Amino acid sequence: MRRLKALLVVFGLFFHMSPANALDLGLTPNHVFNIWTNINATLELYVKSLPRYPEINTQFKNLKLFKFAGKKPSDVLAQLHKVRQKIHKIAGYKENLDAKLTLVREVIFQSRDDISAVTPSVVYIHSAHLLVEIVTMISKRPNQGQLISPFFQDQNFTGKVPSDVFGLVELADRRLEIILKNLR
Amino acid sequence: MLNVLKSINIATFGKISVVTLALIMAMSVGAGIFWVINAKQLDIKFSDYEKTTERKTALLAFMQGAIGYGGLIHSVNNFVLRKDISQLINGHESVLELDVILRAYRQIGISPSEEQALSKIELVRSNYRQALVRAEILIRQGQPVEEIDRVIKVDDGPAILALKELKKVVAEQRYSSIRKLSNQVNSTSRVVIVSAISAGVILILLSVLLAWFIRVRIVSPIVTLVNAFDSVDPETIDGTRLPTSSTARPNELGQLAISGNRFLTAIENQLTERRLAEDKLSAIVENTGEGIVTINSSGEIELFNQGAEKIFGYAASEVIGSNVAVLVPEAERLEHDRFVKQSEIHAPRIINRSRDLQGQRKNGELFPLELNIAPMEVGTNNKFVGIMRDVSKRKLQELELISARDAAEAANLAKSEFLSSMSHELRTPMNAILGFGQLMEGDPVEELSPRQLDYVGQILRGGEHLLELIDQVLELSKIESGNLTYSLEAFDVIDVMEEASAMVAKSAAENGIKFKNLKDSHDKLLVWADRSRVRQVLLNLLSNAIKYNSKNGTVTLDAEVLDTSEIKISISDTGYGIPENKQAHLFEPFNRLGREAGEIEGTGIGLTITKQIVELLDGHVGFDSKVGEGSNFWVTFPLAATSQILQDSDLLPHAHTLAGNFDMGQKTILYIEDNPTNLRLMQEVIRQIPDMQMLSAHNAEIGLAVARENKTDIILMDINLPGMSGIDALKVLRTHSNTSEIPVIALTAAAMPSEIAAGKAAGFEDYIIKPINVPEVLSALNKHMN
Repeated sequence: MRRLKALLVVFGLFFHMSPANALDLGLTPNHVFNIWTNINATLELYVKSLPRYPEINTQFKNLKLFKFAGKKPSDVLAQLHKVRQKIHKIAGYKENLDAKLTLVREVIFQSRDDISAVTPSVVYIHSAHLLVEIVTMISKRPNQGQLISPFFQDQNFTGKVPSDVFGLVELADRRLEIILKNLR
Repeated sequence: MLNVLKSINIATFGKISVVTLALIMAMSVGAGIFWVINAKQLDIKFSDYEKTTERKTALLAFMQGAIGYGGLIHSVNNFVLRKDISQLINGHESVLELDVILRAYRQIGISPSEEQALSKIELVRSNYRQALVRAEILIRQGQPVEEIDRVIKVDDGPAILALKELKKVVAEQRYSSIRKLSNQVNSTSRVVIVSAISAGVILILLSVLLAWFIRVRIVSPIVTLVNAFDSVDPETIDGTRLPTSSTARPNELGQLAISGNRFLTAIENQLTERRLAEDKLSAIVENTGEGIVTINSSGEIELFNQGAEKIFGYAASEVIGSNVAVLVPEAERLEHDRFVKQSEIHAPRIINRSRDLQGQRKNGELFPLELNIAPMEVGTNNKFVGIMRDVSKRKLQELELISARDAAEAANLAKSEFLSSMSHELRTPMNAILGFGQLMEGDPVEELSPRQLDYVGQILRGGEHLLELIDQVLELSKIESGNLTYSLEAFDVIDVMEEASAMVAKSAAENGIKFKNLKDSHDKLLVWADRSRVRQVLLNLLSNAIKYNSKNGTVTLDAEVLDTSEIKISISDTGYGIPENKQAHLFEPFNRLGREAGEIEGTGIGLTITKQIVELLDGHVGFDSKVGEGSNFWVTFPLAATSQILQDSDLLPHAHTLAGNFDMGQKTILYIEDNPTNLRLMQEVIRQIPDMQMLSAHNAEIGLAVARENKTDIILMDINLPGMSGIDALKVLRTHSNTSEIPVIALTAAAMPSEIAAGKAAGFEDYIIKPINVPEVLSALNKHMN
């Protein structure tokens, strides 16, 4: 799980020369959108393990996917960090050395590029890393006979933009908020 | 080629050298810049190659981690064998990771062989992913491990080989880039080295050329010029010239030689001119009649010309080098030597000033010498040039002139004394004539008949004219000395014309001359002049008109007012006239135009005095004359202005009484006079004053005793007394307390200006000149006794 994060640092060092050289690996909002579709799917699986599943599931289903416009990859990344914080709360992570190292690497990465240097590829790596974290978290819940591998499958989305991705991230955020409330 | 180089002048060669050096410098700088730019580019390229290979190497390490030992195969096997979900997640993460790495590698830029290898790795990644999915499903289905292992088996050999291939390609790329960079460095270095060598070669060639040029075109000609200059005789030049360039186009040094030759020619010409000038000057110095001697600051003679030789009798060779004192009288040599030594102190008094000295000839004879000394600066030496001449003859002439002048002055003094004496002697009898005449005319006791009055009047006017004639003679001396006196007033010139006419009427009648006075056509003509002088002028002109008229001729007197605010009085006669060739000398003194030997008497000064007087009164005098027809003389005088008329009280009518307004009680007058007639005259005058008694003394000594012993109210004092003079008597009177306050009036015939001035300076209260004017005497007495 740490390797994806480390890639960010490596690529950040390689491609820090200028915005034009910013990390761009040919990954598009379509690829990111695929990741976040999978993340939302993991959250639907996660609620099944909760004691008040039916009620929460009803709340889940009442949540609508909002449409956003004019969002940039950096907006998506900022929203992503909110989601990550909630996941860490749910997972009960404590500040440990590993988390600190991750944080330092992020700082290094972000200090070497301004906000405009946040490309879809950067968001993709962060998103993939988060997906791995959620899947790991789910894998530690009571087994419900659900397969894990489908969460890593590729779906060929086309025509997606950062605002579409932002909508999925924002939906995930609201869902996690519901989960957190039901955990207390 | 060498000829071409020789024809280049120094300035052009300098320019070529500068341009060439500039080109060399430009080449060097260009090569440097070329090297720097290339080095920078090489550095950038090398940096790019390094980064590229570094990135690829790093990504290959990641790939090695994903597909090598401990990578994907490890995750799959562990998941199958242990059913560990974390290994499944780990495997999926590695798949995701490998996807990102492969994308990153492609993003750097790859060759076809690399793409081929990456495609093989990509295929293995997909196989592993499928294996993970199948393994999870089979494990959920509870399939045995062996079955699962068989189904999901993945051949990762191609990926391993592809990874090796990629590493090899990256290594080759690294080597290739280094080799390419090395080639570029070599190429750039070659360019720089060639440029540096070229610049060096050109520099060496230029240096050699410059050295050759300096030696052949500069140093050699300069040496030649210096040698040529050294051979020139500065005193004569003597036709010496500098060698000029043999080439068609001489350079600057050739031009310098040409200019030098022009300079030498000019100097030679100047030297020739100077020699000629020196010869000329020497000839002048030697041949001039004046002596010229130059000395140095020590007084030694350096030049002694022929003129000096003639004056002093020395040959130049005898005195050159000697002290100039040998030319000075022996008695003065010591003093002269001191003068020379202190020349700076005495310079202001002797330099550039003509002085008369005494010189001493070789034979010891002393002679008068005129000397003028001027300083000369020859280089830093101060010298003096003395120009002198023997003035023995001139001195002799001067002595003669002084003697003549003294004689003339003595004669002049004698003349003045004669005039003074004559004036005194003539005035004394005139005093009696005019004084008694006046008494007779104004005697209130024994009044005269009209005829007697007319006769007395004629006597008085004749006497007055005689007096004026005396004055005329005296005035000549005044005119000569510029001391002629006059008094301006406004008066009717018609009256004066009438007076003058009356005075000459008898003379005219005696000469059978008809006299026409046309003044009747005028009423009154006021002029601003001196009445007495105007009458004097008219009398003179009328007298001449009568004297020089023809028998039974006519004299016409007329007056007219001119537009120039002047009155013109004309006196015409019908006499002989004045020849034209003599008219120019008419107003010259003592020039009677050839009538000196004639029977008509005259002094020849009348017209001279007339002209002087008229011009003194701002008037003009002139004449027209034709021989055989007669002459017309005219004078003009300025008309009196209104303001001048009003200020003149003399024009107001007033009574003439001899006694005046004496009312002062009993008074005593003392008259000191040696002439009995004058005493008698004054007695008669005093008698007319009531309560006035007159004491008299015939000399000063008796007069002083009388004044001391009697109460005297006023003293009338003659000046020319026998024994003590009147002026000395006045001094004695002023020293005694009982006489010091008595007013003393001078009554004298001493009428010369110097005598009048001396009398006034002595302290007389008044100064009355004989012959007396009775009212004037009475007025003075009245004034001083009150």
